[in-house]
Amino acid sequence: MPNWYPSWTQCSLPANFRGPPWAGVLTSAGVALLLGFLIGSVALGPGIAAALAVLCIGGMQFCTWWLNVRLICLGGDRSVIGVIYHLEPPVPTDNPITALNFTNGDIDTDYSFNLLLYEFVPQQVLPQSFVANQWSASAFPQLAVDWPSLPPLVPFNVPFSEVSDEVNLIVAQQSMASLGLGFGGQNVDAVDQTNAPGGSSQHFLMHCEIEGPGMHDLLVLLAVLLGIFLAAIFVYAIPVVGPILTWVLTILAFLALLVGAPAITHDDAGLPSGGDWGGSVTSWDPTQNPDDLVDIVYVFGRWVYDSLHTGYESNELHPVHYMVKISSSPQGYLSKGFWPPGLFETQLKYDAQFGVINSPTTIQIQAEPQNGWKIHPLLDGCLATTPYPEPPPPGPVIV
Amino acid sequence: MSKLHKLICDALALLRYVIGFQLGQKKPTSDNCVCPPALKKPDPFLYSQQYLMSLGLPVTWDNPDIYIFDGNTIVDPHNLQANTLYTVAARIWNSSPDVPVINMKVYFSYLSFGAGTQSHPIGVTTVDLAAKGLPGCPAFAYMPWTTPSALGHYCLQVLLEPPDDINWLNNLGQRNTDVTQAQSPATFSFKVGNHLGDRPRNVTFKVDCYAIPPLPACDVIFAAGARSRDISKTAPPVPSGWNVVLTPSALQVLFGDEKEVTAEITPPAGFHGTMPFNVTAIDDYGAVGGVTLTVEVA
Repeated sequence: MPNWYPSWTQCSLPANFRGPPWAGVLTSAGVALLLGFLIGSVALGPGIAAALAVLCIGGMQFCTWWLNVRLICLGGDRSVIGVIYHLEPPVPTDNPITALNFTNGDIDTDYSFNLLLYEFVPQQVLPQSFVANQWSASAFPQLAVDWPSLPPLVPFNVPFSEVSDEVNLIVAQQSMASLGLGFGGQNVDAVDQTNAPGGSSQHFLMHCEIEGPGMHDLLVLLAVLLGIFLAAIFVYAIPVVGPILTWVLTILAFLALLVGAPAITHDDAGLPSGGDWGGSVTSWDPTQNPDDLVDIVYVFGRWVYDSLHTGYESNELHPVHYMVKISSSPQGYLSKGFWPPGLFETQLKYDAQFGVINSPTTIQIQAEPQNGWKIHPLLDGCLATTPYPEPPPPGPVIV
Repeated sequence: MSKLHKLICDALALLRYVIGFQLGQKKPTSDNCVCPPALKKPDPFLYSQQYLMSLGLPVTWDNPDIYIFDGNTIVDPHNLQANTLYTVAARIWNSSPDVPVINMKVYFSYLSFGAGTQSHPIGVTTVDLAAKGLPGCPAFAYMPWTTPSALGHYCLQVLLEPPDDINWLNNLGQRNTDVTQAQSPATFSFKVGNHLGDRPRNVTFKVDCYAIPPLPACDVIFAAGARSRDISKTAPPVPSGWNVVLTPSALQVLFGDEKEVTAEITPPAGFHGTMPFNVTAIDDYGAVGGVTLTVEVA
């Protein structure tokens, strides 16, 4: 297995996608009330436990959808390059009520950011003429035709052919056009809003999410609680101590939820043990000195559409498998659209190198004895059939 | 069954986490840090004397990762012609099994022969470095260099500047060597400089006879049950019978100044062959630099 950042989600093919299981969740709530009332009228403890058990099932249904169905596959893993423009780290809470309020997303411990794509500036946008027609098969070809007439919505000096691949990653995809979902795209911070004539609110940003285990943790917690609530129902049949055990188990499970949910919001996307993970990135910051360097990063992840980003639905890299810094440039240059040249070529080279690194045979090669060194091959390495190479002759020198 | 097993494992892991959390084992917060946890770093390096010394390891200044070509022939740096075009080559490794470096800047420079002397840039190039153990690791960077018109010995420096790095301390390597036929005694001279800070440097010297030992065969290493071979942290001292005299043996170098040191090395009677002497200059804050002097006795 490649050494990728951990993830807990799967994506569904467009044909297999279904919306949030609200009906199932509401049904669970109704059944919980009914069961609670029916069983509770005979014995209160088992009634409450049964109601909570059914609520757990509803919650598990939602978590399972969140983890396995919500994201729509768009075509495997992709890379993008750019600078981190906007950051959305997870927001932990110690309040169990807040933690379990799905609408504020605290239980989702993903570390998210928007990447300003290479060769664009934050103010640039897709034209409204494209966005109004974005689900049409003719929209993207028409964008290519219109591109030379679009500046300043798009860069003056960048032909469409140069950026078509990365632009394609952030626009509505034909593979899911029939699903009837929204596509609002990613917007910029207020400071970069220009409302240029003919422009839309879809900027050249790729949303990226590094997965935290929050929703998976919640699913596990609900499964454990379900088991405890079911046990609480059945132990009621034990003579004498049964009713007491039912209450004890129910209260314990409820307390576990109150204690566990806030803890889960703190279980964010942290550094995996081992490997070469970690470090900081200098991101885009409108308040910083124009001479300050901003890091340009390469991000590799699964290309999906997130159906739960209501109002700002977009394609994204989710999960991010890994990212690396590849260059840097003064923000003053980038803000004028002057990016270091040739970085698409660099991106292709990284793609090729990571293709080799991610291949199954690489781990075997790296496990060979001559690659067991830690400090320097000539100090703690060893002599294999093929010795460590010396530099080949340079060939003709051109001065 | 496997799903149930996974659920139990996940539940136990969650229980362990929640208990730990309640006991105060919270993940450290990183306010004001843009620290995406999926960020990975490469670890490009070459034989770096300063870094190896910081690990307490003996070093040679005859850097095995810096080469000089005259045309397509490798030549010794002590034997260069003045005002002549050579090619300096650097062999660059990557400790990371997961992260390559594309377009890494490699800076070449030269110094007067000695320790802590003034650096003069030769040029900069870029190189693509693959991950550990893969084709493209090591990578090789080349730089044409026309030697100065003043005949003399020069130290070569190679500095790596990747976009990111696990270890920034092993990116600078030096090759400072000189060879002399012993003529009772063999005499060398080198400079000790101070171009780093405005404080004076009180320099003393350490002399040893370390050379990188030959590599053992991999099957020998594995037969011994080890993943890699042990590195000795002790350098062989000057063997008995040899006499090394440094003049001066200690000196103070002011900022911007360079002072000449003479080394007289007398072999024992009857010695034939070559013997390396690593002279490392040390001040109050650590190693300033060094040279490897090789004595040849026909």
